[in-house]
Amino acid sequence: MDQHGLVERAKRGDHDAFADLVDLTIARLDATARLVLRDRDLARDAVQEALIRAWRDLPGLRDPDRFDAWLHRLTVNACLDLARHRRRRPVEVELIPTDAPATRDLSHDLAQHDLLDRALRDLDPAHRAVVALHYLLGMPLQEVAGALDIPIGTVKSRLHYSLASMRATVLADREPGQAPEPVRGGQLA
Amino acid sequence: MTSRSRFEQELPDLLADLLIEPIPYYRDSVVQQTAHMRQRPAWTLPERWIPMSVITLGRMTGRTVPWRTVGLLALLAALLAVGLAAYVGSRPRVPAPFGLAANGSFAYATSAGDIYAGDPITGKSVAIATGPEFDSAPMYSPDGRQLAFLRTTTGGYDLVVAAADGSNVRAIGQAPLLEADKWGIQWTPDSSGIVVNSFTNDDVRRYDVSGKTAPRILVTNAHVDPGAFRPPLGDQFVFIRDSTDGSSLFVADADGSGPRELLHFATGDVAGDGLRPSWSPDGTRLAFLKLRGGDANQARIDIMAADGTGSAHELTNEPGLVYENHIKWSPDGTRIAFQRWDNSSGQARIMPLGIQPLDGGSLVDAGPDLGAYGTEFGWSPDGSILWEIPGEPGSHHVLIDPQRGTWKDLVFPDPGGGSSWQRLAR
Repeated sequence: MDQHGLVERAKRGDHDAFADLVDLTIARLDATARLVLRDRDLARDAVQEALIRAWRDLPGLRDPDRFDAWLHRLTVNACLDLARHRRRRPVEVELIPTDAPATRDLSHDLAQHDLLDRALRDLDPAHRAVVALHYLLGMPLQEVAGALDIPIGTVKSRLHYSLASMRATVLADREPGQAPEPVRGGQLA
Repeated sequence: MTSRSRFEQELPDLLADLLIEPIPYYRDSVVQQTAHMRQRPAWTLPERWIPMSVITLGRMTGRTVPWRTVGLLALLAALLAVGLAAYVGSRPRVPAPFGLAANGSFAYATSAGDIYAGDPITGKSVAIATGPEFDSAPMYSPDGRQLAFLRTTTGGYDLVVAAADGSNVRAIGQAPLLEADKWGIQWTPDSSGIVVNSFTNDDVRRYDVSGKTAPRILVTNAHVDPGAFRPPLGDQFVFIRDSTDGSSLFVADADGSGPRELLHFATGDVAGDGLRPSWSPDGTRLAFLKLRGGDANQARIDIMAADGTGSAHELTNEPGLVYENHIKWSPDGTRIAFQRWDNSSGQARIMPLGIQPLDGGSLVDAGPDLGAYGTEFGWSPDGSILWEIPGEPGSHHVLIDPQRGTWKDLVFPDPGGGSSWQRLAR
């Protein structure tokens, strides 16, 4: 499907075209929201809100090629709003998928997933948001800054902190016997 | 390729593997909802070029001076001042918020989530906050009368304040603090408030420990590092503001008004840990981190005049690829203690703490060799001791002679979650 064409049609009120756009994007949006919020129900709420706003405000999008970045921005901002205002929940939901394909090494994959899930849990929503936009959605740093309305320097510092924190958790388990790296200071390259 | 760079390259696939699932079940619901919604006309959606900030203008109004009211208020103020002087004179003295003070109790959190106050001489300790809650990061107020700490709760941490003896425990603030917000928490110099970074909101806010006023945002698009308030009055604070081309040090009045840029650093000069500005105890100098030659493996502590005049100079001339961090001025302002890593071999190796006299004397290697976890450290209020606790699980405190770098053990039961030394009047 030609996304540019779909956006142009959806802008003019073609709801079938919008439904196709939803199909193209909703899995990644859902993944992004679950990364930031760590709660499936809240993630659903955030993605629904973002897509509803996207449909409603789509006529105002001047450049159809900016659709993905715009939609990602709506989603992440919806997530951060929910994170700020949500009621306290007693249990934080783990993200480990339960239906891994049978052809893979399940024990290794689940161990990796568990480590990464733990590493993400140690970050707050603002840090998970930059991780989601840059590493999951592949947005360049400048676009991440624009999506979150923060300076690129702040994006860099949050990514640096997030990466160091996740690395410390994940690599410490991968390489037993090797001392974990300090989260602050030390080698940066 | 190092394991670290391989991790970053693999991260997108790892995240996708962990998170991407088939079309969510609520897809149909979204499509149905939007099918019944009208789109907004394009002319009602201006392009996003209008600045988000709202500029408010104050108005000056001409008024005549109500001299009678002024006179009555002046008389009332004089009477209150006399009464206050009599009251204050009857209370125990408190130390000035900056500089040398007498050593009081040593508060620490255990790995089990309790807070104790220990005697650094005898090693004995008394319970301050015990119970089912998980408490950490104790922090005495500058006047030594109160103790703040963090209480783990669902979603983050509550900021809790108690009297120094552990009585009158109360949570302050509204929403739980997040993990990243823990960095930079500090008392205001007058011990009436606690300043916190809100990384989610990208602002710095002040919490009133009496609970009588709501938290107030001081500056936005900013964060502070510990030691932000400027001695000797504490009427200014330094904060960091990141921009598209680097980071800047700003100074503002204690209420957040009148922010003005002090120094700007291009992105290539900013260490990964940020600028970490820290005032000298007399407020005349500012120390901060800067990359040497733009090399990410070499961060050096620079010192400059606090008013931004003159040029900055490096604190040490230690050879090699050294990454200095965590600037701690001695209370008398004659030395700086800091953490450092040696990156010369291509693998970061943490070194013992460094203490550099500011009169040009030799750098002192202080304390034991450290593991890979880094360390927490600080000066005693009277400046005679440097305390330290390595981050490696199972470690205990040590007390370091800052002149010679030698140390002795200070074994409190099960330390592990933060420490703070109480300041008392001399």
